[in-house]
Amino acid sequence: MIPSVPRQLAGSSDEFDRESLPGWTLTSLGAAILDRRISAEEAVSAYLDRIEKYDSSLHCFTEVFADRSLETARAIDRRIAAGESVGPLAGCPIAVKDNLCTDWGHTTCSSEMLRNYESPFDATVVRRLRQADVIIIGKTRMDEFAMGSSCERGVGEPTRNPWDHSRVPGGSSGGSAAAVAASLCTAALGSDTGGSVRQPASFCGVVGFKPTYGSVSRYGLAAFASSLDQIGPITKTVEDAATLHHRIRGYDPNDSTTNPESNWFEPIDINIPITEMRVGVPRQFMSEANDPSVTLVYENAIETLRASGASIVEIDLPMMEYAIATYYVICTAEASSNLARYDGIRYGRRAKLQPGETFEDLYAKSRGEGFGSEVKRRIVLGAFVLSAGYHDQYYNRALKVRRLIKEDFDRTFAKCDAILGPTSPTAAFRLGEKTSDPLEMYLCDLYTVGANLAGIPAISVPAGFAEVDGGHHLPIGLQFTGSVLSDLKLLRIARTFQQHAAIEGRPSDFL
Amino acid sequence: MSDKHDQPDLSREAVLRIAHLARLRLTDEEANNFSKELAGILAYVDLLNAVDVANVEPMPRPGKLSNRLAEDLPGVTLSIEKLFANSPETRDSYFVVPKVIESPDVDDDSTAHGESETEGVER
Repeated sequence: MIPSVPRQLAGSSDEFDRESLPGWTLTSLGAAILDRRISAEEAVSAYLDRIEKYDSSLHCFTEVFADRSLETARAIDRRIAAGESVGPLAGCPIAVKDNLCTDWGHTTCSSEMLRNYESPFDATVVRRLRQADVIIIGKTRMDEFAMGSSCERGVGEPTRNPWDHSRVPGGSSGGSAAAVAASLCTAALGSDTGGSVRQPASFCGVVGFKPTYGSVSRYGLAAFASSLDQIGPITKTVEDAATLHHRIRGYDPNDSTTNPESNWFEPIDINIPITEMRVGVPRQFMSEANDPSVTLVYENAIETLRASGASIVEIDLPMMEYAIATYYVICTAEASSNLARYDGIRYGRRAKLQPGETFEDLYAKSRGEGFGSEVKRRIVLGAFVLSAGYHDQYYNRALKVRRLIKEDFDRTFAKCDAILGPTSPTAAFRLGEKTSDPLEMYLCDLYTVGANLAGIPAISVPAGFAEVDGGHHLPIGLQFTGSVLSDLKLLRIARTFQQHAAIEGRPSDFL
Repeated sequence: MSDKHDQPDLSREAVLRIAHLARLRLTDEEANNFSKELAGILAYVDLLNAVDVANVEPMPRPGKLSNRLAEDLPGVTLSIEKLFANSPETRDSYFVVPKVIESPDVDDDSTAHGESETEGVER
């Protein structure tokens, strides 16, 4: 059943234990720790308890740093007690996707190739979180090398959707989204190449934000498709997404694609009056590909916004129908190049050679044994579209269509502040439902890949529910997409939407 | 950009040839499946042939690319020990790999640190 949930999540309550945890957000918990209403150790212990209780059935984590997190928490508590200054998110337990390097523990990308890999350095985002005194409580399960939309690929048990264990949490950042939905951490980081933060956020009933390309350093993120990859927060509220994004964003000399822009002087909680918002609704998004429940949630949201005084602007995105084809040519081409680094020589899995086999066999066997089928499929497809004779026909053509897709968006943002649409054409699907046909899995990304191709920000916000199997409910998210560097405005619009129309709910088993 | 659209060759042999170029060993099952699946995916990608891309500049990445010069300052780098800790096989500060040069004219002493017949080292 849909749990009845207060519009404003808790946070002022004095109660704090494993059972009350789902009512806390990153923002409220961070404030409570700084005010000494809750100690960092209490917070970490409570989350570790929940992980212990629920993760054996959910499989969100590839690794949990229990002892280390408790030690870090005690050190933070001592500093707070001594009146020393601590970071703004001191003591808040956050999970990070296992393709983000941490200089402790493992960084596996849920791949056999990196099963034993221990990164010698921190990703820039991890370093920035540690500087804010965040506690990184564990690493989360993902589709192998971030290639997938269901968290079923790669090493380990598939992650389950907390709302329905027979269903996927989405992907590829499914472990991060499921962990936030089940309150196994206050917030999490994921990476989004074609929707991998937003689609699992939609499936799990949480917020997922993909910032403008170049806002967040990719240094220490295992590369999948470098012109599309961007790290983003998965949280319970838009406010939390803004808070976490603010901590990790900004120029980094170790990633020359980060932009030195600084458009972040104002706090998120300045409201944009809803009567001043122009929300674009593309006719292409009322697609027959949508599940009827998704269309209904979408129509209801449009009506709510209109009734609240927002201007609804009908817009046209004619290039949308080419987005998936364009995306899968470009992302596989970049992946085939990026994943060439896994050669079995300097790190990663190395195959055992038989007598007479050469160094070429070492490369081919190590990669053959280390990569799963979806990763291999994409490397072969990427190598093919880049190969002599086909480069112009596929790769170069896709790059040209990409520009036309971007220009489509540019024209649109002259008429509206943000585009509203479904995040995914369906609610969470069943495990195994789409694994046999790769193209069917790719089509899940219909509404999300456009933002990556154009490099623009987009955010998925919980907006309603689908009723399945007689009375059982699954969350549905809607996505706001904005123009380049409009991240702060987009977050404010999403926050206003969350106040007027969005549903905050929790899987009933996890209340 | 030519207007010619070659029908892609995605036979099992073609898939294995591409996989070889990518130094990627496929199982028989993968080679057979990929041949069918990639043909299906590329048939879908043919949608892009309907788009008029005349005079459109390719867009390899979002935003404009400009040079960013790093300041030339001394700094601390990772230690050799840390960097080599993940390597499957090392000797001193070298990665051990199978012998690369197969010429009979090259004797063991002239390959760097060539202590075994089957191994060479690469730094």
